[in-house]
Amino acid sequence: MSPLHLLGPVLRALTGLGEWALLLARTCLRACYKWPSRRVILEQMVRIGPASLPVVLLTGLFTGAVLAVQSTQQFKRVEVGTLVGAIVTLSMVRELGPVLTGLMLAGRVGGPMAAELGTMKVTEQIDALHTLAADPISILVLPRFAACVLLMPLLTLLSDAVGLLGGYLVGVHYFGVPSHFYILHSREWFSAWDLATGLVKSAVFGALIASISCSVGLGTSGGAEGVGRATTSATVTSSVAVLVSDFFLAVLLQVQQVKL
Amino acid sequence: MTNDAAHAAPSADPAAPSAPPLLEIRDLHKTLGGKHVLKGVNLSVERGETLVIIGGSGCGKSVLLKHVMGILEPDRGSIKVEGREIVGLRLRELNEVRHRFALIFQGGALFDSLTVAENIGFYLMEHERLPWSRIYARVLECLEKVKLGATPRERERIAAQMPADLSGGMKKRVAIARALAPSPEFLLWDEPTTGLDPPTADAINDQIIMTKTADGARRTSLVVTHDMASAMKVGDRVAFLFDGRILKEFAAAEIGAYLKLDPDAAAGFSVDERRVWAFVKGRADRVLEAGSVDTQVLRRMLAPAPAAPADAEA
Repeated sequence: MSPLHLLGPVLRALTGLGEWALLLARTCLRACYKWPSRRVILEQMVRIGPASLPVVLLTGLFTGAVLAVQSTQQFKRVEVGTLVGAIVTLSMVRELGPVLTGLMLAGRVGGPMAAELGTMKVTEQIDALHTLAADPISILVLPRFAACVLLMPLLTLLSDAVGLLGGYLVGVHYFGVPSHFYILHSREWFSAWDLATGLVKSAVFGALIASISCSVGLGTSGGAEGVGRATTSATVTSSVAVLVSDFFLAVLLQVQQVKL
Repeated sequence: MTNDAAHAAPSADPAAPSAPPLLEIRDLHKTLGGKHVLKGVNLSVERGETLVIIGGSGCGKSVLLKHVMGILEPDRGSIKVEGREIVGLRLRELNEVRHRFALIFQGGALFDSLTVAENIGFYLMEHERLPWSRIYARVLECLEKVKLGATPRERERIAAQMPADLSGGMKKRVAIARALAPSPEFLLWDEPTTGLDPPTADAINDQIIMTKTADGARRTSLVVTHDMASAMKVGDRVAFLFDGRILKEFAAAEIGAYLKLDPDAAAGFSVDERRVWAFVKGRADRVLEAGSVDTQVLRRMLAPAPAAPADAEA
């Protein structure tokens, strides 16, 4: 394959990146001077929240549980088994809660969001909005964006809570770690900064998932096949964006923590 | 079929005889996905007339309408509304033009998450900040205008339905009602009769004629279609678009008179060895003077190989 063959996908990726950046900037600009009504945002939150809740809770519960399984065994070897509460709490709140909730939301919400906007695009509903002198970003993108940014931290909190519960049940009731020590070490190692870190990350993930999915949806072409491609692309790109941005956010927030 | 007297002749505004046309397009070019779709379109639409653009699939008819609404930006050329250039306008200025125009899409393009009432009242909800009761009254009025629902109760039932519950013909009528709700000056119709059975298509043609004078307005229309019968019925003038350019314009009455005189007469496109013709052909195959383009030039233009001088029309 010649370098020229690689140029096409690279250019397409760069174009997509540019379109996403433009959409994000326009959405933030609209948010500054025309915030959608509470009713419109709530409508979106109702569509997103209940749909994502079961999968987010299940993922959180079993991730906390499996963390406890893996870490209790290892910690017991070095005779610090009671610290399992701390490792489960920190891992869930700082890292796994936000990231797994983000990945679940990317699949459960990002794909359908791109499919909905993609269908609107290929059936000329987006063009119809333009002809009615209406702004698709204010009407379609901003409410979804706001709903995701507001809802992600809430879902992450719930995921964290059930994750901690899963870790506690396995650590205390299955491996026999004393409940008192489990809770004591969890509280000892946990700080408000850890919670803030997780929530900031989750809000950023929400913004990324909504903006990427809307950007991919609004760029759809090619009928039903194009909508299918857009759905897959939105899910994959949002998931990758969550993981990549998690690294940079982790570094950035670590630096901030050291400064504080 | 001929035009009736009520809409037979293009009527310029007598109060302003030297006023520029409502819409004037000059040398419009557009390339989409590597294909040169519009290759120098020139046309003008006078206030109060109905211009029909007729052409085959993929010749750029819908693309042309999207340029007029500012959904697409041309690569080259000019689009003027009452003498004011709209290419390159900022969104706010472009929206001022859009408030006066309405486009009825081929598939209706109804918002499928909204009810029929919300679709028709969308513009009023967005821009006029009226109470819902007044918007709803206007919605029912528009439904009556497009002959959807024989009784008020029937219209209320239709207003509460979702677009997915409607037939193709009903969707088209709801789209017309949505376009009429803000009382626009200029209506653009994208393939209004495509995919409809003949009685429904005829009813839609009647709707197009009705919209010219609905609300006591003297409305201007630009209709793109490949349906010659529809063009004859609704148009004041007919322009033939072929391969991205206007080949020839006829007064619809001229074609209509021909068709009336001669049952074998026909209008459309024809390709001979040398040229592609937009024609009206009558008795003894006599061709009314028609616009044409050299087929050699067309072949060069359509060839997938390195582009030949595409604009060198014969």
